[in-house]
Amino acid sequence: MKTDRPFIAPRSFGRFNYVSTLALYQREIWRNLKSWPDTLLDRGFTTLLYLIIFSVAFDHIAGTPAEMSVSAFLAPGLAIYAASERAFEAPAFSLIFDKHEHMIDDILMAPLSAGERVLAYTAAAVTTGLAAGIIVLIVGCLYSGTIPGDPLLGLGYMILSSSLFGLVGIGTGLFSTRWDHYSAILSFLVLPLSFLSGTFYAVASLPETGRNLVSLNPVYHLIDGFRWAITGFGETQSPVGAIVTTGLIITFALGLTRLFARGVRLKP
Amino acid sequence: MTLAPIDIDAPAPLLRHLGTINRVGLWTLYVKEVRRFWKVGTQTILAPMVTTLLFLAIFALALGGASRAVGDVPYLEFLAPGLIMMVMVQNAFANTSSSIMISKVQGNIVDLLMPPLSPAELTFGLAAGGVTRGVVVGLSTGALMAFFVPLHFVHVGFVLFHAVAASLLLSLLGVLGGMWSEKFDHLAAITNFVVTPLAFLSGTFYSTERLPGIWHSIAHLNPFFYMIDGFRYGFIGHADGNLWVGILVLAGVNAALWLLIHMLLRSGYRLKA
Repeated sequence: MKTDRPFIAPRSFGRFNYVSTLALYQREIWRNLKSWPDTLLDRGFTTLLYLIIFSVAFDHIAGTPAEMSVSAFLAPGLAIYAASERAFEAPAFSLIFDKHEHMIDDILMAPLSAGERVLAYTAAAVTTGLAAGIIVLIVGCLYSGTIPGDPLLGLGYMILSSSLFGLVGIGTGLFSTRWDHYSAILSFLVLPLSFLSGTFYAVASLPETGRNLVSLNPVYHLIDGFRWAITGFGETQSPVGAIVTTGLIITFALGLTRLFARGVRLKP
Repeated sequence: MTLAPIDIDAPAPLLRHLGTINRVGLWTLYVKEVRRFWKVGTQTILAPMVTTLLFLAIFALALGGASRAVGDVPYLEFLAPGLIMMVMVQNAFANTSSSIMISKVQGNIVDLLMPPLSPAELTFGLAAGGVTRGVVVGLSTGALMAFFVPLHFVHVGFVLFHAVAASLLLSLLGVLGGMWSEKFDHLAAITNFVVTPLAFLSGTFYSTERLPGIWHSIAHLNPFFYMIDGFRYGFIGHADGNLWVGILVLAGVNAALWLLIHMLLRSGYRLKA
């Protein structure tokens, strides 16, 4: 029996530890999609409710072309809202829960660099967001009878939106010490931002100053772009929003990597 | 260290005499339920206010500049009481259901079952806590909405009765939901597939007159419809359905739920192993 060679040799990895990153990603995915009745069914059903009440209450949404039905206008907005909100919730819940249960040490002790951690959490947020968003989009399109015009472009916009909100979620998860903080950011920041950025109305119906204000909001451009990709009705029709969002995503990702590296509110 | 001397001739401690109603216990339970939501006021009172205002904003924006009226009332004035009622009932349900659910999960449901409280007192204490939350949320949301939508009281009695009756109904439903659920998923399912649809599809956002034939009849079978109809009547003086039928339905459903919960508490359904 050889005794000069150790049983367990430390694994050597190059600059990017893809095994650990993949493991963290898979664990986050599994954890979030384990509650799939909540994630997928609930949101599909609530979207259906929204579509029904708006269709009954309104014949036509102000500012939209006359031949566009209420539900056809709303369906893409609701889909990208579902994706964004789910993408925000997933990492925020995960981080706060781990911190409370002191399971965060498992993440911190793994041989992952800060950038890899941010990558894994963001990828998980995007995947979870897409799962919810696609289900809601299918429900919405079935109800309103829309066939997506440019699904790939729509997918691109949904990925951008999920990444943005996912990064905001990671930041929330890092800084929150109590569920109150998470709930406050969800209710007072994420929800208003998603709802009031053109999900339920067309900008043409707003007065001049309102229109200018809204066009400064990147989330509005994402929603508008996504709606354009799905239904062919878009008000801005320019890639400026996508570019600005990409810039924001890169900034947030770099900032969060720094925060993870310093262990803000993670290490005592 | 010397211990205090025990006087073995002193009389034994007396059991507290409770009488027919355990007033101290009932009050304690009620205060506990109220403090439970008051302590996290940002989540329980402030957040619903903001969300309801958001709803109002969405509908106002979807309208655009169009002036739509339901009957002789502008659409937003028609909508506002419905939104207030909706937020009241959602919060009343959440209060009781989360209270029982969290106690079950954390294991301190014994603190609810062991004290000398009869099933009626338990039901009363829990339900009163839920009604208080519903009414507090309703008042604060209504006050906030009054800045944006003119709210007039035409028949205050209807407003008060329906506010309390609706909160009570949903508090009792919350007690049932909390007792029945074994995991938070079950509670979420009840909230999302029972309470929310019934609340949304009850004529809050539109007048049921707009619904065709059979849907109109189905809408009138929904107790939530009567809650909102009567509550809204107190503000705008116009009702879609029969008001007295509504009052009877609410009183009847409340009584039935109360009896059911009383029976279940006595038998210890899913609370006592």
